[in-house]
Amino acid sequence: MIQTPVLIIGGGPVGLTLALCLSRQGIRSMLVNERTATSTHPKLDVVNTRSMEIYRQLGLADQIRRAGNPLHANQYAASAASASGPYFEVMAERHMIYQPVNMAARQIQACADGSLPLESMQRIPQMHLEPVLLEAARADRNIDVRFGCRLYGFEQDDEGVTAMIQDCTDDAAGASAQVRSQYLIGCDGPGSRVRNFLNIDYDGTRDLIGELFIVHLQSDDIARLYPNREPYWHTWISRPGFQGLLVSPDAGRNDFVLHRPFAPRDGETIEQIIDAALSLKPSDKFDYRIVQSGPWRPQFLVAESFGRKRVFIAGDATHQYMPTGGLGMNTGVAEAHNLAWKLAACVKGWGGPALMASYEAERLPVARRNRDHVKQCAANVFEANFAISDDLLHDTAAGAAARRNLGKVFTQKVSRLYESLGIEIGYRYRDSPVIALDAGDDERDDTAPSSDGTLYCPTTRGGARLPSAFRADGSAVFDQLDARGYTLLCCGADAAAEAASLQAAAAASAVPITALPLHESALHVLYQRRYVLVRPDQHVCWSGDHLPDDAPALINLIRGAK
Amino acid sequence: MTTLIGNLKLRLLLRITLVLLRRALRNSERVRRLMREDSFVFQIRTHAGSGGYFVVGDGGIALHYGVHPRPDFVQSWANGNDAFRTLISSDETDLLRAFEARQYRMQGNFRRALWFNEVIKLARSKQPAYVAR
Repeated sequence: MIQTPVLIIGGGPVGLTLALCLSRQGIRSMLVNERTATSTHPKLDVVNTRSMEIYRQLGLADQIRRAGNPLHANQYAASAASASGPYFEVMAERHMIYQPVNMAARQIQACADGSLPLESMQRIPQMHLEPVLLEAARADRNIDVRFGCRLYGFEQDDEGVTAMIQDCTDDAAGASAQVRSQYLIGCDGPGSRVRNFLNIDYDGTRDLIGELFIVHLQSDDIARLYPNREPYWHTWISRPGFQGLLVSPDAGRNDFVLHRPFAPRDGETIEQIIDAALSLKPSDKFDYRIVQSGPWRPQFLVAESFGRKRVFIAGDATHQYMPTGGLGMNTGVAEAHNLAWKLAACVKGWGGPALMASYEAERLPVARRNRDHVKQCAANVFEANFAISDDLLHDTAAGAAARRNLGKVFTQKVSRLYESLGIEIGYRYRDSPVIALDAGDDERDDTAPSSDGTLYCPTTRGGARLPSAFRADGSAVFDQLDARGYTLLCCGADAAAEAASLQAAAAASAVPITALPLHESALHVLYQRRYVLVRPDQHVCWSGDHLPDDAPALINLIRGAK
Repeated sequence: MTTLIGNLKLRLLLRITLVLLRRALRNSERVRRLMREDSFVFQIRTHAGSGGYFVVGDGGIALHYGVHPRPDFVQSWANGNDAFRTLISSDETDLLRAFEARQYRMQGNFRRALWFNEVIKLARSKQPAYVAR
């Protein structure tokens, strides 16, 4: 029987991220994946700001950026009648999110109020992200990667999980093996077998929007339609009789994805659809190759529970979202990050029984919140198209006014998909059993400056992600946090010296805790409190101007021992 | 004559929809929850003004014929026949095709359309569509 602390089912981006996060914690895992290779379809097209922060903690941010959109290339979103124009609006300057990565990095470095993430987003297709993660996992001694292997079934008891896995490559003739682990995590996608074995249902109604259609094509020709031969990230196409979205997941490559609200009509070819998206003139011809195409059904579903006892789920197994807002994989990456240090704490022995339970308490509300956001984004996309008028393309004053109006409505509505830092980094784990909230914290929520939660307001209140900031020497505070344990930020003279009582209480329970003195007055203002206790996942679990009188009680709370 | 028949078919469809929704309200906890969560006016009409509107609120739903002065969401169809043919389809995609073909226009908050689509789906389903795996 194979022994491993953690068995991960599913080798997509979330499963691979979980394995890498566990390794960062010093925990071995076995990862099994039914497919024998990574995805060949672009799928997702963005690693968002929070996920990039997580990959930075894993030391993978640079590799991911190298595999994706060039650092100097745009991340614009535009509204147009076709990829050839006319263009009604190009969202380029109005938010950091559209800026090329190297420009956004300068903006981030200059930001002193904690209002920006440490990393900007990365435009990259899943088919180019997965190989980076897989290569890192295969090179990692803590990770036993087994592609071409599937979960057959499992049983769990009080001490662990016994799973049966089966080699599904042709030459192995179905050889099976038993795996004994302390925990089993299903990152096995929307049809998750692990979720099904656990008998966990989705909360939501399927197929609210119907069947959309997607085409993956490759073309060296389409780039010429864009300034400097640099395709915009998203070109939303709206005109009477045609709506769609042309995605360039990487301006440095020739892959494009065309989304349509439905499959081709009777007699309509995929080439006709592509041609109509690229130009208003039937005589315009483009060279392209259709790689694959097909229908798909967007969903707004969240699992009713995220696990039972020693078996948990993450990624698409917990949620299925329409890609409006780019939160499908990114929510899963944050789940993996949340889960990994808790698993590590329990494997190492200092995590208490409430720590694993806190995974669902913390992440299920975020999954539901993200679903609401994604749903609103989808609604906004539809609403933007309400402004398509019959005279949109007429060479008249009314036509010009209609084009201006459509551009304006597009910005108002569709910007929500992109400019939502509050959704990406502004959530708080308010209902967690392992977060110490301030007295009176239940009554107000200063992390929601906009009613829809899209704006981000930095805070060090319990459960929030620590606002990112830079030290006087230009180094990032995030880079100085302990990824394997808690970090006590000590703001002010003598604060670190006074922290000994908390460190002693932590040591008594084998909880790793490091004091990080911060001498910069700007950081004292930003972090609001003299002490801020930060978890390995960069979320605040306690803050205060005075250390608690009962330090062991606080340590027991944050490690889930009570 | 065709217009008149189309308008009558649309009115009939709205009436049948109301019956379906009220039945679902009695039988489905999910529909009851959805009805409790929101209150709004959902108008389905022709450009010429035929049709009606649903008033959702206080955990219930009512239908009125005619045009509401300030509906939260409007589906305005070129004619009643198109509306009838598309709205009775069980394929949501038909609605998207009809919109692109400009057989109808929309105004207002599309979340209401998603809400309506969900309750209709629940009302039509023989088995509980809500719980899906």
